[in-house]
Amino acid sequence: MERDEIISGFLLELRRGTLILCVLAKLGKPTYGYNLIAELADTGIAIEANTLYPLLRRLESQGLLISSWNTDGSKPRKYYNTTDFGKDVLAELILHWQDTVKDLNQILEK
Amino acid sequence: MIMNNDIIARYIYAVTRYLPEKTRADVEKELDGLISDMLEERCAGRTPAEADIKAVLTELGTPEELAAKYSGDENKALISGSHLLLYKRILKLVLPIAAAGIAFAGLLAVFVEWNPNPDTFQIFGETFGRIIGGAISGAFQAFAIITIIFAVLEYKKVAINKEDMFSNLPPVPKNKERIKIHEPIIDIMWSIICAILLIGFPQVLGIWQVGIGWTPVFNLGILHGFWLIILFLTLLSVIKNAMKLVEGQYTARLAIVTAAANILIMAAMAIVFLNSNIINPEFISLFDRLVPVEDIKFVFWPFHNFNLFIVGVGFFGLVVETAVTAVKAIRHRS
Repeated sequence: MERDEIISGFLLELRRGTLILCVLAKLGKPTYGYNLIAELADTGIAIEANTLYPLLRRLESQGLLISSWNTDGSKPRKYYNTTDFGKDVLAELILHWQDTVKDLNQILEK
Repeated sequence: MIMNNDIIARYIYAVTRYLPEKTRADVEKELDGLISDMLEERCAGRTPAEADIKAVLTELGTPEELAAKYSGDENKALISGSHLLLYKRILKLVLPIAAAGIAFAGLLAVFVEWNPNPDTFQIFGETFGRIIGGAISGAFQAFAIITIIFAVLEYKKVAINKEDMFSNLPPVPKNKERIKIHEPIIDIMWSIICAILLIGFPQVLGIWQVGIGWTPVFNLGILHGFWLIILFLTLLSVIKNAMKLVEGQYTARLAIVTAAANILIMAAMAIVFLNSNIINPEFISLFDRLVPVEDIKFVFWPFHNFNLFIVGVGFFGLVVETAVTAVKAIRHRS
């Protein structure tokens, strides 16, 4: 029991930073929050709505995302899209991510 | 019973009331859409029952939890991190001093209203209560002010000790020489209690005999003439002990302040107690009546010369304290 708790705690910390990468990459095309959860779940990444929605809002306030309400469907939905600035940031983050993976593998494979 | 749509509306309201005014409407719309999407997925066509709504809202967490997530990491705590550490340290130092300071002010008030002929014990209780109450409320006020200052520092993200970090590093105290925090506090309380008794209620200091009642040690009229000096003496003792609290270890500064305060205290004691009229003559003759045997009279020397006895004991204690503080400060340095 305690072992599981420790591991899930570490997993949470590991994934917290990578979620931003996932979201910025996925929102290259406009998507609304609930659909993004489904898309991420399909690729094996579980994120809860109460984490994602506030995260989207924060990224928007930082200028990485832009949102607009779409009222064409049966109910109004807020679509998010990565901005140019967001794409620029993402490109650099991807480089850092790849470096990190390489460095970590060097350590972990020894 | 709350209707289903009512539960959702109430839940959303419970979340958004914690959020800034300008984002409320947007979050409201967004949560409404989210909950409806979640219900749709869960119920797959059928009309959501109350249990479904409750399950979905439970998944989102309590309104407070969700609002906290929407509020982000900024200023999550009133005081946190390095601010919190410094805050706790300063509270520990300032609260006892504030309490003692207000108690001292309460003591001053006692003399302003001094009346030589009251129901001693009742007044004693009232005064004591007032001084303790004052000390507590003084500590609370200091607590409130310090908390407000730190909350503002945290909110404004003021960095502590950023410039000149290296010259601000404190010397490492040697464990033995660390001053325990309760010692100066107890000393401060003692000096205040002594002052209350000496100036406000000297009748209480004495010997009680069946059928006769209290025989005070001091000549009350003369003692009261010295109230200003006794107050000065108490103030010196409070300053000395406050300094111990602030320094936390035996520094050269503390040794100097202690020596200076003790010299002044001894001078003040000499002025008050070298005068033998300060002792109530009845108190002295009491012993002659109690023990009429000449042979062992020397045992009662301290009582016959009670004023000198007080000076002797007082000077001895003060000289020892001064010397010990000085020696520890010198050892602390090397």
